[in-house]
Amino acid sequence: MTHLSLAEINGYLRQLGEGALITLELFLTSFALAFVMGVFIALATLSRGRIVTAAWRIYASIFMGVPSLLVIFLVYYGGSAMLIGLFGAWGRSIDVSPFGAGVAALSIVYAAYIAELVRGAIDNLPKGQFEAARALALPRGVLWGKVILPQAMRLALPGLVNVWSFMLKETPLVSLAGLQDLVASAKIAAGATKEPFIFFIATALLFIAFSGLTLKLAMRLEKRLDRGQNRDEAPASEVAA
Amino acid sequence: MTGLPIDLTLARDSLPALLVGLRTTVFVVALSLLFGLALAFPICFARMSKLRFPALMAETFVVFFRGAPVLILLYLVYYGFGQIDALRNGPLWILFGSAWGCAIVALSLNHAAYMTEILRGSLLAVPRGIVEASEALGVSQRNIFLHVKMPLAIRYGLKAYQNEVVSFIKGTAVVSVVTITDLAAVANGIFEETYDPFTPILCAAALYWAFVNLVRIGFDLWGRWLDRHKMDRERAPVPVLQNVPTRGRLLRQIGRVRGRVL
Amino acid sequence: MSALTSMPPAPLAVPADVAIALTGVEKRYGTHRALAGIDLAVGRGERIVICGPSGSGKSTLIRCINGLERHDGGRIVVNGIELTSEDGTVQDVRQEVGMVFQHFNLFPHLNALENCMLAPRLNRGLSRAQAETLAMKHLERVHLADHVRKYPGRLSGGQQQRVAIARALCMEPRILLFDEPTSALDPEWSTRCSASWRNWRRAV
Ligand SMILES: Nc1ncnc2c1ncn2[C@@H]1O[C@H](COP(=O)(O)OP(=O)(O)OP(=O)(O)O)[C@@H](O)[C@H]1O
Ligand SMILES: [Mg+2]
Repeated sequence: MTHLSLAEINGYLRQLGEGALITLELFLTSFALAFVMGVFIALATLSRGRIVTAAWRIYASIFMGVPSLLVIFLVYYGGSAMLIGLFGAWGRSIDVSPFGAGVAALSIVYAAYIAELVRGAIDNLPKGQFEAARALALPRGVLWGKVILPQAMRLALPGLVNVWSFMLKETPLVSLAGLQDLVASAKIAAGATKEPFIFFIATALLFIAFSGLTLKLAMRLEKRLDRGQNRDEAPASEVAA
Repeated sequence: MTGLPIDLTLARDSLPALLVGLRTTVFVVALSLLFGLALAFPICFARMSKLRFPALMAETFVVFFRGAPVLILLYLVYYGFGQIDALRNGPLWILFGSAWGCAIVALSLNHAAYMTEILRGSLLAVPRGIVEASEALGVSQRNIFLHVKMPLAIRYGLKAYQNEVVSFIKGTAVVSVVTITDLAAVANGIFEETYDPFTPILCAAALYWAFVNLVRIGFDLWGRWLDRHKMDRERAPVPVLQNVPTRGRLLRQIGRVRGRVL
Repeated sequence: MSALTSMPPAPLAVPADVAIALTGVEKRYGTHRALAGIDLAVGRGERIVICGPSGSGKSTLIRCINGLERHDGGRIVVNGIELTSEDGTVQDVRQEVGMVFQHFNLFPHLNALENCMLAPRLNRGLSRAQAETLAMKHLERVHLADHVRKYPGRLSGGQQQRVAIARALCMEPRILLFDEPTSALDPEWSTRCSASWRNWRRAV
């Protein structure tokens, strides 16, 4: 059936491997950025005045109501123009690559989701936590860094896992802006070898395996975090299937 | 630079084309939601069946079509099934012979996989006692499903369904890769003609935003109607679904859920 | 090991005037024997009350009688129909047996009236109007005529229980099983209920 030489197969495999690395790099960078931005936005918008809250609502509504693909296109096509507009001549020297555009777009979009999650988690912490910390006269930094955020992160973890796997499935969109990622390589290989099933199914399975694997790790992390905690509040891992 | 440079004349001129694209997007969405939901029922029954083999098949289906990115599914169906010569003369060619057929197949399978899990979670959330009460009244299994389980499951799963539909709509923006000129494709085309990086994309984004929020409002009204007529919020809270995978915007509930919301 | 053995010994054959006959009924949950060799015979028109401490298997016994639980041993004959593993027999028995649950289990998406109308419409094919007349009749009997449009979430515990009673009566069963029939009722209602059950022709 297959009329491929070993060398050809090797070549395609190497190309796929390189594509997979690019996809992984894109995904991890975007997620890390989105996470940092999301937490920052959550802290910046929580219990602030009406204007800040309204601005946050608009940001969230826009980026949760618009396809990520369009955000990617917008950043990629319009990126240079925006940079020149923002920084003048200095902006002209920055070249917008598909990779950079992808990272920027994905992290902007998913920062909104993560901020929503973290805000929800902080909102749902028992009020007593704030009061106890205040009673102990803890400085603000300690209150947020050592008391509130760790607990909020535990609450937000299942949702973060969710964002993680959903964002992973959207990273291939950047290939439509010209990034030579895993899916683009698979498409080339499938076209050249006339073996679409092998390459596309293998690619899909790679995605599924990666997300399954990281999910297992996340569940372990949850168990770890729950150890010796929350005796009265049922730990989330109990309902995890 | 003050604000984003939107060329108002271009926006006005390209609006008719964008609306045609929007109509295509609405068609793609409507058809896939319909077929996906219809597929989800038998798959869900198989998944919940006590028989080993159907349950395993259904689970495999769900894992694959939920776990694979939509873009790959589109490529797989379009370049895969669309190129099989053996299909060319069979009846399935109606589906796989056209870009539309391939797009609807790929998207429906993806949606069906998500809906299977939402349906399963909602059906499992129906309290056993209520099913038993119907059994004790001598109501047949079929009628229990139609008149007791499904009405309750719809209430329990509505939020998850809404999230899924909303993010599914946004996800369909990739169908242009199989040559369907949906809203995103039209905007892209205008960009390639005019090299205006902002106007067409932003206009398309606004239309997507309006579409998505219209759907969201529709779901909200539906949910409120179900709640007001049928249920008392204070005393009989709708159980928040655990273990129901949704993509997109489930996250507001997260603090309340405290469980995995995959 | 708790079992119910308060009943007089059951006859082996089932005479026509016996509505429910149990011989040596066993029910196990894992290693736990919830029912250990129950013998029971209830005549037509007879009313009996089964008492026992919590967890002694009262609910389990009742659930076995209308086939919500499969018994693991012994025989159950209800109204001349033996409960076997065939699905059809369970369905036949349930048409004859009404049941009021310990936790009511009303349908939360239907109001009191619709709760009562569901089974008559689906099982007996009554029209909406017929079913409504029937349901109103029984809801009036439990003095709920003013609350028929309310959803279960808006009813008090006692009202919910009365809806559950009316719902069971609407199937006009020849046998009625009550699991803790007055647990949610105030003393006055309890007396009133027992009085009205005395009027109910055939009850268990
Ligand atoms: N589905 C089940 N699985 C395991 N054990 C069960 C199950 N149902 C009942 N049991 C056990 O069987 C025993 C009898 O339960 P049952 O509900 O019949 O008690 P009861 O007499 O109705 O008590 P109460 O007065 O509290 O309602 C109990 O020990 C209970 O734990
Ligand atoms: Mg009981």
